[in-house]
Amino acid sequence: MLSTSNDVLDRFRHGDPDAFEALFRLHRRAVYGWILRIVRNPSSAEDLTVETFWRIHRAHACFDPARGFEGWARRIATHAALDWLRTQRPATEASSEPLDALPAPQTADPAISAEIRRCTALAFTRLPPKLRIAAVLAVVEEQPGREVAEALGISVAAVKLRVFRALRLLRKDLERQGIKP
Amino acid sequence: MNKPEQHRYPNEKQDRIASLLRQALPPVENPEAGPDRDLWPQVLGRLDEKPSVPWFDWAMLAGLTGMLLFFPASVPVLLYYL
Repeated sequence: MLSTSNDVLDRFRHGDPDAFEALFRLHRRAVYGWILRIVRNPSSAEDLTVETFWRIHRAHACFDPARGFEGWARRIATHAALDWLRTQRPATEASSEPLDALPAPQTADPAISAEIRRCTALAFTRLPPKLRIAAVLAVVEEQPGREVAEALGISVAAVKLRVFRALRLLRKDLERQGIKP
Repeated sequence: MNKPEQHRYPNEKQDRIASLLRQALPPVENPEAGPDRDLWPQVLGRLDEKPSVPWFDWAMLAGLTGMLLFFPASVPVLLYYL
């Protein structure tokens, strides 16, 4: 957990540019990493990190130092990533570039063919963005439910429900393609 | 012994699809290593950008101007409600 002095947080809330830069330097890696986990594309994650800090600066007057900066920044980053996902068209067989941006699994299950993994990844891009975020953070990245809930602005139970719905839609999509998970 | 597909419990099916998803989309390695370049100049550039007026604001302004030009009698009504 990154700690920030109350003085810096208070100065940031009052619009001090030096405090904002200090917070950027301290939290940029965590914000970038959180966004990368969601969008899974380093170049887009960089753009969204800039967008997130712009939104953070714009909302400085609404910041409550008592609630901490990290969770607040994570929530803004999640919403920026969600907006980005909404603008993206689902990947197709011909255009699966975003899926190729990150390395393949090092410990692939030999019982699951590369083709099934590819179909699953493509089907995942067809899920509604809100369900995708919940599933990728909770299932793939195995982030704590409380952190995911806080980032999405919903309860832990609602996160579990979104994950359940995401997995059910994914299974139905794969079954339509003739794949029995 | 393998159970027939229709007799699998929902949780078991969920676990299988979750496992398949983890195989298809492996976790990002070392995500908090940070971006390759310093993003502070881009953040400063973004802060210096002038906010653009949304297209629907322009559309509303054009509609209002058109209404005032074609229906001048509506001016007192508009002023009354302002």
